[in-house]
Amino acid sequence: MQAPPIRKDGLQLEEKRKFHRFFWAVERGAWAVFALFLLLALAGLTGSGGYFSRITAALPTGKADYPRVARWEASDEMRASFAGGADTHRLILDPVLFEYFEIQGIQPEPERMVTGPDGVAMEFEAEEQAPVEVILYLRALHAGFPEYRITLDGAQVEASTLILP
Amino acid sequence: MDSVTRGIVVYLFLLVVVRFSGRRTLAEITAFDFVLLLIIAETTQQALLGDDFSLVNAAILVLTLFVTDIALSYLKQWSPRTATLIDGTPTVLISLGKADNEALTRARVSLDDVLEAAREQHGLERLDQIKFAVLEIGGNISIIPR
Repeated sequence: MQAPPIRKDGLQLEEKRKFHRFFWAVERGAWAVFALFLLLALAGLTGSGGYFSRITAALPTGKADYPRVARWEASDEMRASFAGGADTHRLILDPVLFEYFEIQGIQPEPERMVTGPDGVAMEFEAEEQAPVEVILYLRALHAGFPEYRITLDGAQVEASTLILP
Repeated sequence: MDSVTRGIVVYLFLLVVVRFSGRRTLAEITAFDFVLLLIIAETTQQALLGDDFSLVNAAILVLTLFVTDIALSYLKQWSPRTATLIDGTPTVLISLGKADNEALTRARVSLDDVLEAAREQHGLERLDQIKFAVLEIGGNISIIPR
């Protein structure tokens, strides 16, 4: 092990001022990156709320609202709003969704759930053909980028969610 | 596997954030800094453990953190460049009684901080009694009187 050199002023210490100057500049750059991450988080690009954290897709039969960015092991939700005009509404969710998300609850509970080739179909009854809003409480099981289909009364939307670790 | 990955990621993340925050950020523990440290510890704990509160998970995580730390200390010993990158080197703030304004400003140390260290370590009263002031790797200021 080598002892540090003795400086001109008599102090035995290796300061590496050139490295310090470089590091101080990098340090300030890192602070800007920290601030940028906070701005991204506030905008919703890291999930859990914020303007860009969700997507609402308008369909002829209603609206599907799902997370654009979610977080692994964190709770999230998906909303399916059916337009009125029918006694029964059918929501079909792609099997891929179930590989990445655990459904912790559905509000209101579907009258019937059937598994088919397109995924899991859920049927909801509406009194006097009123509009129905369904909320699915989700929890991401893995990090990844699942692409899945949401079908509301026959109208489909290709959705995707970035699940951050 | 998950526990080890989490442990290493959190360790490296904290290392980067603390290093880039500057040596002075957590070196002088004021009452608020202490609270801040507790909050960071609590937040990190949740990221480390997730939903798994088992004894095995805790044991693996503790081992991961210790082994990563030991591995890093070997790496630093083997490569002085890595050591400089991770720990930095001391910064001379006052040399032969002359304050280095660039170092003071960039390292975010005020002359009041230097005087405080001088009072605490040597009971010095004035700046002109200080021959050297060095911001050490750990963030503390060491004083050599005239």
